[in-house]
Amino acid sequence: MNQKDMKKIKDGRKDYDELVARSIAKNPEAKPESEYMTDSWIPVNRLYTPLDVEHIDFAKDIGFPGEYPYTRGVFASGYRTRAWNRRQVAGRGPADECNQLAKYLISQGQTAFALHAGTNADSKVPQDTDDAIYAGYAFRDTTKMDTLADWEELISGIDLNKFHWMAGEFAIDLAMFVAAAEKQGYDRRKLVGGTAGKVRLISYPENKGNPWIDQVEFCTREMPNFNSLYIDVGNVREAGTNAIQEIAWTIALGMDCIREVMKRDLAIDSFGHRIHFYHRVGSDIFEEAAKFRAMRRMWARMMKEYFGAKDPRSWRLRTHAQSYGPVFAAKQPLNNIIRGTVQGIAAVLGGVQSLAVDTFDEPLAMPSDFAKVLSLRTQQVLEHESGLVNVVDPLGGSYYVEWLTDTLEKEAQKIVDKLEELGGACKIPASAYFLQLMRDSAYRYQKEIDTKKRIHVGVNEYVMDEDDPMTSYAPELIDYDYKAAMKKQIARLNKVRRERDNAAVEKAKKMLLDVFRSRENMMPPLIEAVQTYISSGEIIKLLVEARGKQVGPRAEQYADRLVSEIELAIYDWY
Amino acid sequence: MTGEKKVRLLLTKHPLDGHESGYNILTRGLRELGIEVIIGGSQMTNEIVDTAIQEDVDFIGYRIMAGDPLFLVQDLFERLKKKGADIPVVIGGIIRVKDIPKLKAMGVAEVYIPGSLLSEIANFMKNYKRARTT
Repeated sequence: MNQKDMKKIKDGRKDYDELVARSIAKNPEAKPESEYMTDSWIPVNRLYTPLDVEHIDFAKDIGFPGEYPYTRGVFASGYRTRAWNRRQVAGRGPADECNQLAKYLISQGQTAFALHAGTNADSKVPQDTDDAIYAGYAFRDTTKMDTLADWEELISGIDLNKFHWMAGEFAIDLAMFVAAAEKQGYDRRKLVGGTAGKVRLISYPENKGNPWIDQVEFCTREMPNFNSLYIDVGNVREAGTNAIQEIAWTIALGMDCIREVMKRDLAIDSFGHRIHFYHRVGSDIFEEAAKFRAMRRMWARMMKEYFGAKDPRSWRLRTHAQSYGPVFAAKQPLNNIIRGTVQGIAAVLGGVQSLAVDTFDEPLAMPSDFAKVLSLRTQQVLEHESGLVNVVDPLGGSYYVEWLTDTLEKEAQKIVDKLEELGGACKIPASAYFLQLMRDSAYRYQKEIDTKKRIHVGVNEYVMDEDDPMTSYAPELIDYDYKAAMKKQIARLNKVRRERDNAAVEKAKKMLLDVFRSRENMMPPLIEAVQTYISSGEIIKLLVEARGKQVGPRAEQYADRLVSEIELAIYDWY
Repeated sequence: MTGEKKVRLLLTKHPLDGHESGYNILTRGLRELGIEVIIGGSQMTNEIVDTAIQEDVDFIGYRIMAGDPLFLVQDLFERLKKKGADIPVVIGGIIRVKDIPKLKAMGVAEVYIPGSLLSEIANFMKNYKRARTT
């Protein structure tokens, strides 16, 4: 834009400001000017014009979809070629029932599956179903995989070439997934899907033998189509961080994990294109869309400039977004359908590759099948009826959204710098600092709800009597007999233990113990060992025997309370 | 109310439950509202009882998401009874409305579901303690 045009806009803006001043003198705005903010408390103006984006270079900062720095999306044709994956979280009952549930959801249009396996104790290590930790817990809304027999049943009859599996939390899950798939004739080099465990570097500080880094190294060599490095930011958002902090954690955590993987002599471009993400998406539509745009730009620049990645595929941040559960309320539960829809719109405008819309009954009970399908329908309405998929990055060029994208980037960068200064996201000082930011943010949010500074519809405003149909509406909640499921699974497990070749299991145990001690990559031996039907719990016992307590199943073992708290808050929760 | 001893609360949760924003908010929020919060973190019921006795708390705040509250709470009460401990228990999390009367019949002092306010919870505990000690 030339100087003359800018001058015209400046003059026009002056006139507009005067007009507004006159107008609001007569008809005041709903709240004081300083209280108009995004969800992460960025103050926003009444109106944005080219003057607010003058400093943004279209070619360099915004550009085109499918091109560096991918602000406008990672794929050139957006959702026209392929809509986002519909990946609702699900899991219930033992493997056979969970397989039926998966098939039902596929028949209703689900395209990817994040298994709610609940195998993860707070250090993400699965015990066997007969461990006391699962009493009163397992199978209510989770499934539980004990041995390869369970995985074989779980994936049976599902087309793994088309359907994306998130293969569980831990190296053992990936080993069982690969072994089960290969038994059914699949080639591991062609398998699609991804790992789902967040990389833990605080409780597993040593690179050699770190199960999550082992997974990345193994996939890089043997499973080229499988997403190997999982950057889990969604759970950090879920714990109360805001959108700015979510971007910052994406970049800082990504940097730390990548540095760790590269210590294995893996070149950045050998695995950079197999990094995948998990984010949350809140209700502030423009901020959430801008958030995904900003983080894509930051990620691309980090990969190219900091890590020196040359393959454009390594520059692309591909993510899964899940709607933001903490704002789903138990009061007037039907309102949550609308919240899920708003958040779904924000995610699609942000250009995500995969989406889960939380079920409206989640604050009340374990999700019902009815609600699960309704969440799928929400996604399908967005895809087919809303026009959202017609145009790539439809918000691109909006003065407000470009300004906000830029502002979010700058604010997030400050946090990234601080985390780097403190030694990197996965070191204790940086994690402790971030934990504090997270708590402050969560608390500020709740306090605003408590004081009605922020309106939460049906919760602190528009509240209705308990007996009003809107409030008392109770969806048909699931009454699943999880105790019977547990009995069935324990019987199954015992049968497997009885019928397997126990001499082979003993041999596998010796081999695994050696591998865990030598800290060689555990993936190939695990894949071999699980074929003897050794159980996850048995494998974990060997890991603890070889490595000592630091890999044990509980957080309390950390003598340092702070470490335990960080582990709990950032790494160890699901 | 100077001279009145602060309410001591053990805030705890099942080791398999995640999604802790509520837990984090409560820790901070209740502290600011004058409650002394002891962070239990991830605990099995036997550990909850041990910590509660050691820390001499006025309340156990048990957060349950994906677990079965009826099962877990009954287990907790049995263990408390075995140790002869009479500590009021407050439950929060994803609790079905129809389970609330059953939990109260078991002896749970109060149940909070999503959408509850910090001040409600803090006031309840303060009043409850006052009523118990006078």
